[in-house]
Amino acid sequence: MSWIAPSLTIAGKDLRLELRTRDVIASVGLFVLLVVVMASFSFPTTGEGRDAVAAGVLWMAFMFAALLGMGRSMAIEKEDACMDGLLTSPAPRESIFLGKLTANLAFTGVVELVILPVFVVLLRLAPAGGVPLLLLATALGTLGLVTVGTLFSAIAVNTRGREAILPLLVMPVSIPVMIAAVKVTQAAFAGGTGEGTVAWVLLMVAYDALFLLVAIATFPYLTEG
Amino acid sequence: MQNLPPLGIHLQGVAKAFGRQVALRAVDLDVTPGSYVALMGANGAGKSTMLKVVAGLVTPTRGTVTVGGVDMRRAGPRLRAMVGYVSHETMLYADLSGRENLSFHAKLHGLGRGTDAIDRAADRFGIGSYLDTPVRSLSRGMRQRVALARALLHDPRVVLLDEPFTGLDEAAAIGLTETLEELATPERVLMVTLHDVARAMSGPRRLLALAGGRIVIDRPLREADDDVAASYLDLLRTEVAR
Repeated sequence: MSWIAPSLTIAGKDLRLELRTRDVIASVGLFVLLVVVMASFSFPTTGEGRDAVAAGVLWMAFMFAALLGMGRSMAIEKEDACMDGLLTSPAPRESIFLGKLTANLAFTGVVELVILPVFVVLLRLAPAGGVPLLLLATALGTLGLVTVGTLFSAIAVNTRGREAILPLLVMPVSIPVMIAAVKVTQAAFAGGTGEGTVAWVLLMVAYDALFLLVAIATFPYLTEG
Repeated sequence: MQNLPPLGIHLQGVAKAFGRQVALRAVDLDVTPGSYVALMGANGAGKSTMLKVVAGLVTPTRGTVTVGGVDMRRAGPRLRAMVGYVSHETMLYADLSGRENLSFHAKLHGLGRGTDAIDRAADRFGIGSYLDTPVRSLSRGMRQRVALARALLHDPRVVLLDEPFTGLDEAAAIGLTETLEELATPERVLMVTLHDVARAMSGPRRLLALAGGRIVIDRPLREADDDVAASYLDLLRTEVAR
């Protein structure tokens, strides 16, 4: 059986559930909006170092948004043993991971697409020529973060303090891709490529590819009882 | 039903421990195609673990489980497509309707939207007028009916039902007894955990009783088999005394 059809079926089911409940988009979106608004009042919007601070704040907000969303996404599979329903179906276990990953990317992506313009306006940033780079950083950084997060949420969901465990697992492992994302975003806010930007982008590409392969290979073992 | 060979179940030296708690101890078992097995025992005897092991949801600590000659640890999509499993929990998404849940599982089983299969399952379990209600709003018994419909939607060869009568009213329970009778065909295997001795005597053709993770009674059943029923009740009394 192909991985694609069951992955899309599982992602579609998650999106349908989210449209029905709006659990993730509403709570996470509001949380990130709050962070961004508070940041706009707390951090300097002019002067040297503004771009670096803005990039750091933005990715902290994105990371917490992703963590909240991914934790919830796997928790719905735990309720009423829905994961057992997936595991006893013919869907390859890799496709279960890819389905959850696709849905998590969609949730996080929607929140980011809403927040990003608000953030740019509130912090009076002027990426102008850096917009493509900003979108590239967002896409690659989110892919790495959500890949690691989706994998670890499958572990954390079986623990008692899953909300606390997930960040503890994800944050250390995602440090390389987060640093790279912040660096590239900082360059984008400065209006274009800065020194070493290409290397940071390549680091994100390598990180994403590596963890995507690791996650696909290990997820079936994580779901064994 | 797909044109596939009948599947037997074979357990050899199967043991399962969850930490220090031992659920199954060196269980050997052969279930041939066409079997309708009642799996009984006191709480904690290992019935649910045995079904999970056969369903491929739990990996044995020791021993092997094969279904149709294939080790369940290496079960591919084709084999999993032939297993239908109901657990204590409904395995249904509470915020989706019964129809959406069934349609989702139909797609995973390659049945498209599964419209015909869903209609048949709705008729079989009397859930037609509740199919578009969110599962969260259904009664326990109605959820159980949808859960049973989900497990049988793809016409599985191996049917594993863990206390399927839970929450059902008497009419639905009679309906389920009849459905299980219909499903007990020569090419299919049914393993059903039960607590009610009377139900075990009305349908299943073999009784397996577990105690402390071991099979302690393995007898064929005939209708109103008082001898087997008495043996099982003696076993339960012993378990309670312990």
